[in-house]
Amino acid sequence: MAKKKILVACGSGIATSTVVANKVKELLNSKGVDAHIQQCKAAEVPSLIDGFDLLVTTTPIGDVGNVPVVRTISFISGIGIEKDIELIIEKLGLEK
Amino acid sequence: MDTIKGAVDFILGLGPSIMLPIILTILGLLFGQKLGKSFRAGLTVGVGFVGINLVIELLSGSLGPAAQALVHRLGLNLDVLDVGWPIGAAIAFGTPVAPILIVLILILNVVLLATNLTKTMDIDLWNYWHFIFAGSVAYYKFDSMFMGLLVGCITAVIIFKLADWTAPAAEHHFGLPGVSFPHTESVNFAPLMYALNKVEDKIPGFNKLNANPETIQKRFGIFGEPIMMGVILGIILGILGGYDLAGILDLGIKLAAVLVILPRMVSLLMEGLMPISEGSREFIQKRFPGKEIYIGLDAAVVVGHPAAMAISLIMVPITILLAAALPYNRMLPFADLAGICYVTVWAVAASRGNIVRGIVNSIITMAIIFFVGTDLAGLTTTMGKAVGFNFPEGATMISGIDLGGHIIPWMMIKILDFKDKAGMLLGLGAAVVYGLLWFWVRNDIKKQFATEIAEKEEVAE
Repeated sequence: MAKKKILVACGSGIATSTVVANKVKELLNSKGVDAHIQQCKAAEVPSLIDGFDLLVTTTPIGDVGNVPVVRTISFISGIGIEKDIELIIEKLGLEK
Repeated sequence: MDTIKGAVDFILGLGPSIMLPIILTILGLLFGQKLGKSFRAGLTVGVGFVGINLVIELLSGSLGPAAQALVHRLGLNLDVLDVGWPIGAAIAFGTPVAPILIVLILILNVVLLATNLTKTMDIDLWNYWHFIFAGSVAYYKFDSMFMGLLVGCITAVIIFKLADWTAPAAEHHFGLPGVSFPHTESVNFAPLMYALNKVEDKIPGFNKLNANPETIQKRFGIFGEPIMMGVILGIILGILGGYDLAGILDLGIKLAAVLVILPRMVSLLMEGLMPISEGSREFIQKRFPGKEIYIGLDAAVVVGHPAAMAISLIMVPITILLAAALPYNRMLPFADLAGICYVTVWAVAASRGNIVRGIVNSIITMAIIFFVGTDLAGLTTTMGKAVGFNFPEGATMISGIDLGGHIIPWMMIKILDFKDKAGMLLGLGAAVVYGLLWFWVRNDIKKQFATEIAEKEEVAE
């Protein structure tokens, strides 16, 4: 399977995106998926997004072209994590 | 007794890069995490501190002389470096107040929830640094642990109340039901911003103006990219400072490097705090199952809102101009130009996303921030040195835009400083005005969203 490239964004690319990036990494490792994960701040997304398979963000982000987007706060709030995990797996086109 | 005191002094004297791994391992165990996980997390934070120190050397070695050159050549008195909130957070977590306040505020939050004095469950441990910053400013100002803990706790209580009060806007403006933002330097501006919005409603002509956030985002998008902003600022500062071509280019690339590397170093602190962050979340959440509460989150989850994003971009050049124009300001804006979004969240949320009002409100926010940020520079510099960060000897002081946004703690330390009568009066005056304005707009958020709230209640019935 090709390596999956995932961009993880939040307000500054420091706090909430670190939580999400770690969780997504754990999730994909547990499924044996080779993944490249990069963190950034929301305002950088338009200039970085080219070539990524998925954008996971904790904050709303406008136009990102054709790249699928998952907006999640569940990894931080602890509520609704399963649903967001399913969404990430589905948008990456992985099997459950 | 002496041996205990000796041991504590020894550990504190080691500096945060050694002290924090020890303390975080203990805190991790306290929150029921495994030893190995806690220790690795603690080490990660220690390593983060070493990394941050490297970036600070780069920052003060490049931006420091540039600020001095501005002072000498242009007579601009901007000798306080804006080191940004990431370094502010690191300093706060490195103070002796930090481990005690983390535990104290968690318990305080549980008590306030149990007694229905707040509905905000603040599970966002990372942003406890704002309360710790408040407490540590008081700790160093008054040289008293008691005052540090007191100011930290009172700040937390006021911020929880502000978070409760603004929660309907979190639901109906930002679309996040069941969430609130106990995020000090953001939400403590909310009463002022709602008051401004109320005044703006009454200005004929102005109250009809608006602008398109997408156009602004496209035009000012470059200010959203730290790497670009660093280069541009470095080159401009180099030219203004009278550097030669090599010096100008060198300053450009170094400032770009600071803005790119700093977030990565600080994210190590966040990574290391994750186990106790999760532990504390479980600690609070399992105590209140099924209770109607707001989950307190980082305002980072809403700063991407189109209007908020547009404002934070257009405010970059405006903030730089303000820094030069405001006669009382001594702060040279830099690292927090990438973090303006946090202090302006409510400037634009209070006007329900109206860009024109958002800009006016943000300018007033910044005018306050430059005053407070300049006023707190001495204390912030003392704190930075106390936790072992290597700022260059002598002239340069540090502060930040985000740090200057801590207006509630600032009022408190002004009021509590009985030796400085003028400062006390200023603090009291500010607190009275703040309180009256909050009282004046206390029903405005519910009024703004009256239709949405009524609809929701209908559905519930």
